[in-house]
Amino acid sequence: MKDLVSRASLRLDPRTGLLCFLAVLAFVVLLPAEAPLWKSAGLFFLLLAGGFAFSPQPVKFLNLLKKIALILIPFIFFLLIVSLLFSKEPASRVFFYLAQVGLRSLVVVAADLVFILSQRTEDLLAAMNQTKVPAVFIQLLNSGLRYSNIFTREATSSFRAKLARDRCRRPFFERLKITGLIIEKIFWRAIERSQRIYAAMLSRGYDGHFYFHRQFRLRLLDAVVLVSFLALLLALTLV
Amino acid sequence: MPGAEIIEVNNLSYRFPDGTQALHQVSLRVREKERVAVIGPNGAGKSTLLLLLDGLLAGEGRIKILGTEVGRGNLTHIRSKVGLVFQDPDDQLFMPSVLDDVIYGLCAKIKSPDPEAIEKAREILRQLNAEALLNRSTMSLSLGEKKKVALAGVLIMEPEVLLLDEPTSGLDPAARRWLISYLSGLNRTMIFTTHNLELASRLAHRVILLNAGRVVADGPAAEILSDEKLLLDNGL
Repeated sequence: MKDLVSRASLRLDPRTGLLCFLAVLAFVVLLPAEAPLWKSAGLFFLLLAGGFAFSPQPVKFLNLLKKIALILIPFIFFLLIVSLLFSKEPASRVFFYLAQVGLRSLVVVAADLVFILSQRTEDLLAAMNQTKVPAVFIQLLNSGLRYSNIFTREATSSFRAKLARDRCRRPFFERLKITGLIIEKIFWRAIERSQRIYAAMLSRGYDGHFYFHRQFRLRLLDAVVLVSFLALLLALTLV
Repeated sequence: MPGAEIIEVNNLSYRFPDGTQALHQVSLRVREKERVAVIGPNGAGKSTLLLLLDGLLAGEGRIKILGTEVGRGNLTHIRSKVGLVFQDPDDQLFMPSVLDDVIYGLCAKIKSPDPEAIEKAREILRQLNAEALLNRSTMSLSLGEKKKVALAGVLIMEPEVLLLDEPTSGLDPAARRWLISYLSGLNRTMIFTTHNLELASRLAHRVILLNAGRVVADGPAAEILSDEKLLLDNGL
């Protein structure tokens, strides 16, 4: 319990998280293609260690990172095939560039987990509002998250209900057709639900704006983390 | 009258992926042809219990239905014996027409279902006073009609154990009365979750009261439902 409390006190202001994440994105984009691989690898392991050390559920953090990183494999594999087939560079350079892409993707995933996904969504949106991020962007993000949440719940319930009546193994195309029908139904239901939510929003006086009443105050810890992290990224870029 | 024990649940626990403990060391027995109401406040773990009984969730502990332990290797067998009607019929109806949806569980071919399957669907719907719905689209039904079609889709599979999640929720009083009288005429083992104490008193032989994932009381329906203090203390 004490451990959890001490970890909780290290929770960053969402704005610090946002700025750190944006800085990582800038680092990944601006780092020259010929930069040594250890720079991205070093940052990745640093984020990994930080996430593991400060996450209240370190094992869950690693599992989530593993799951998301697995998505990168087919992407890298696709790039490898295309590069080997069409690139005029020698194979060693192709592998070097692919390692760059792979490592930088991992860095973005790890940074996302450490700085963004570790925050509560409502805090993140309020912090974005406080940071004067354009309202239309916040609204799109808020609605998108709400929609995907509804969609996930509908999908889980529907596939569960189908499973409850599945007594026999059907031919592949029949299974495909049934899956298609379920997805179509979930899609329509999600739209209907969204329309009802929108009607409820209008009935409560929605005027095109969301109002966030939560205000964050930067602490010394946030300033220390932000300055140290930006200094580290700068050093990695310049070395 | 209830016969031999056909459902055994021993020390069943389940935790949601977010860490919330839904069920904690639940043990219960259900006899053949017994009708058991699982009551409890919102979030008590009632629906989770039904999903576990049908093998749609995997928890810790043991569930044995009709002599077969519920586990990964025999889910198809379990589901051929256990029928689950979901609380929200929209979760269950995914085929475009009522006929297609009702016969789905019979493993009939979608494009050319055999006349026997169609006749069976017609008969089940007739029993449910819903024969007129046979060729309707599942999208254009009222909630009561959807509930009937969802029930038909499970009954057509002739399950030995029927699980119903909040069967009367959202129904008007007439439809509720009709459903209670229909279910009490079904001579089979039934476990249903409900907040509706009238349904529990009219339909159940036995009542299990769940609260915060634990069995608080388990006994004859009349005894549990007449204990006002017990019900009030447990959010009912």
